Amino acid sequence: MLGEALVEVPRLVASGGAVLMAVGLFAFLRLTDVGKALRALAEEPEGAALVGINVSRIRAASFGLGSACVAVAGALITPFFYVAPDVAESFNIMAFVVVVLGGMGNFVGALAGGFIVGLAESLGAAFLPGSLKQLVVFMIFVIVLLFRPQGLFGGSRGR
Amino acid sequence: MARVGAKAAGALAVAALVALPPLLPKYHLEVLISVLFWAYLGIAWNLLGGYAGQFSFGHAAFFGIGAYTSTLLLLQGGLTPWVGMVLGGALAAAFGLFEGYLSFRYGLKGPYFSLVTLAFAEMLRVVAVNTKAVGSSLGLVVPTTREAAHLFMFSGKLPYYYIILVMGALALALTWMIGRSRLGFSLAAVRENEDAAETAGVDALATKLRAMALSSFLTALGGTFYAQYFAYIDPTITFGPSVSIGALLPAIVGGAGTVLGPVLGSFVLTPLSELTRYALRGRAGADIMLYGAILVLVISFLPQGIVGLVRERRARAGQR
Amino acid sequence: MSLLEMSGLTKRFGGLLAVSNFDLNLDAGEIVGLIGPNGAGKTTVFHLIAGFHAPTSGEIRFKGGSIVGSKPHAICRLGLTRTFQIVQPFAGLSVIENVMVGAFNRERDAVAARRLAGEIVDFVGLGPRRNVPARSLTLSDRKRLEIARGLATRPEMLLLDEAMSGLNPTEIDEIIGLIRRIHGRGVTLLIIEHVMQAIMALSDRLVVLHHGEKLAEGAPADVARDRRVIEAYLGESA
Repeated sequence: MLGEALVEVPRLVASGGAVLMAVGLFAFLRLTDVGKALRALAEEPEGAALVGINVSRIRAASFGLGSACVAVAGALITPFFYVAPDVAESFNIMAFVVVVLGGMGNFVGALAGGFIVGLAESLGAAFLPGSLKQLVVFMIFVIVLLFRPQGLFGGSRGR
Repeated sequence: MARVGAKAAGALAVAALVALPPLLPKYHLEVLISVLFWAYLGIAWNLLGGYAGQFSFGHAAFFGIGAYTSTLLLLQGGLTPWVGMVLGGALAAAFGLFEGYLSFRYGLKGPYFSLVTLAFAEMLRVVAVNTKAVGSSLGLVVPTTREAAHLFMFSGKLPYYYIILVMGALALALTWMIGRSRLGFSLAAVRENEDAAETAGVDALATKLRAMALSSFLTALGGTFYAQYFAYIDPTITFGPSVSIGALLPAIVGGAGTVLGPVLGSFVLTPLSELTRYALRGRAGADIMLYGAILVLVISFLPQGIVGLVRERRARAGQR
Repeated sequence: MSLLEMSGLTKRFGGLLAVSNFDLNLDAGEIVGLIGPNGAGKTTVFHLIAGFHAPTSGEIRFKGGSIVGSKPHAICRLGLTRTFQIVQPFAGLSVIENVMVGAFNRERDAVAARRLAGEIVDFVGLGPRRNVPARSLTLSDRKRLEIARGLATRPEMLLLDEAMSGLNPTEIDEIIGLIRRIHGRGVTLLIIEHVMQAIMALSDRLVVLHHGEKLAEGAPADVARDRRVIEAYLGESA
């Protein structure tokens, strides 16, 4: 119990774990060589190659890292979510909506987008039947595309 | 010399496609219908993905709109699917223009655009699942118990075969004509280099939207065909990724941006998927894995598709 | 009324002032050279005229009408087109197909477009290579192709951005000849160039840009003698 709100421990652990992972990833991107190489590559692939960054290897590493993070997330939600081969179906699109909302390639944006999407989905679930809660998120998605395609924190034009 | 041989082979293939089917056993006819069906969808996808260079991962949105529109009009209004088809196509084109305008206006390109199309298809799927009026996740059953050609209902498979053959042929002819026209050149310019295209006077936005409208219209017609042939539709079948992916694969494997690419691609992929499903029928899902592995290989080593490979061979053979 | 009028043209990228209060008029039939040290803002001016960037403030009028906010393709249809500093061919298309894209602005029919494109291809000297894929061309040919594609839109005015960069002296002479022939056809030209002997020989007038501002304007000989221009270029070789 947190004050008046009833909170389940597994969900608390899951959100705590997610925040921890986000912090760790942020530190990784800022402080380690591989992290810096990744950011350089995202901004300027040609320049990165010219300063000796092994483009394909770093790209592969980022893919692997991303996959690992998703796997951790999957493990964290198993206590309160079902386990089946198709469990990720709904998360696929949500993940992309989060990124669009926050701004592609923007770390803080992804975090903010995640919070907003999570909130929207939960509020949607409270007021709408069935899986229509996803529709709330999709509406946000379309509105963002209409008025701010570079995302909330995105810099240049949405590409 | 090679040109004459190719033309003769082509003529022979067309003759076979027209004359042989009445002689084929049922299973083979079904596979052939499947081949032509995916070829047709591939041709439709190709207009936007191959010619305009805008890779859509969400063509199922248009497919589903077509399928549901004609089916609902049939079930609730008794409207013949022949007309419902066209209405579904128009609706899909309108949706495509909406989707396209939102995306292209801000210059969304490449993977960003692809994922947006995927999101839209998913949105429609979720709406369909949650709307009782369209049958929710239980879907809709299309009546085909009697022979009624004017209602797009046939008891045998053969009429469906010829219908999809004609649809495919017309779509192919359309693609060929566009390729040689002003629109075709605009599409190629936008695909190759959008900034340069604009400087050369090509309205990139309008060009992409035209491709989108055509592509989505044709895809929706395929949706109606599916509904009438398989007699059952539901949100996952019609709006799901299997259609989206199934529409783009023949085009990519066969050669995106070419006229025959999707046809060749489907003639290779569809029997392959049938074969793997049959060969590995004991192990559930193993056929899809094998199919997927083969696809990864093809895309890794044959990015220009089959047509690209043939062209390369020919260019090397006739080297100056 | 001048063919192209720019007044108070300013472009700011965030904190960077790329072009500041730039005025320039071009009359029909002129060849005007736009020169200045690297980073002076010359290509930015082209981007502004051709519609790739919107100016922060200022006015651009072509044939008497404002083209600020117009998209590049609309500006091209009006009769103003440009080439790029780094050539941008349609790599997968052949030479003639590249030019046909431009030709389709003036001809709706594919046969007529091909004919027009063929004329232009011959005019720029790429006739023997009309069916070669653009990606196989040498740099010099790619530059010709870029010019050809622009010419096929039948422009009244052509903006050439460093058409001679990367070319050897023989190729430079050929391009100078081509530019003169284009001018002979009645096309007004605004040329950005670093190859000094070329731009001095071609231009009726020179305009010097430095740190986004107009530094000098006048006859080539006068501008070349201008003290401020020489100072701006100190360290730059002709």
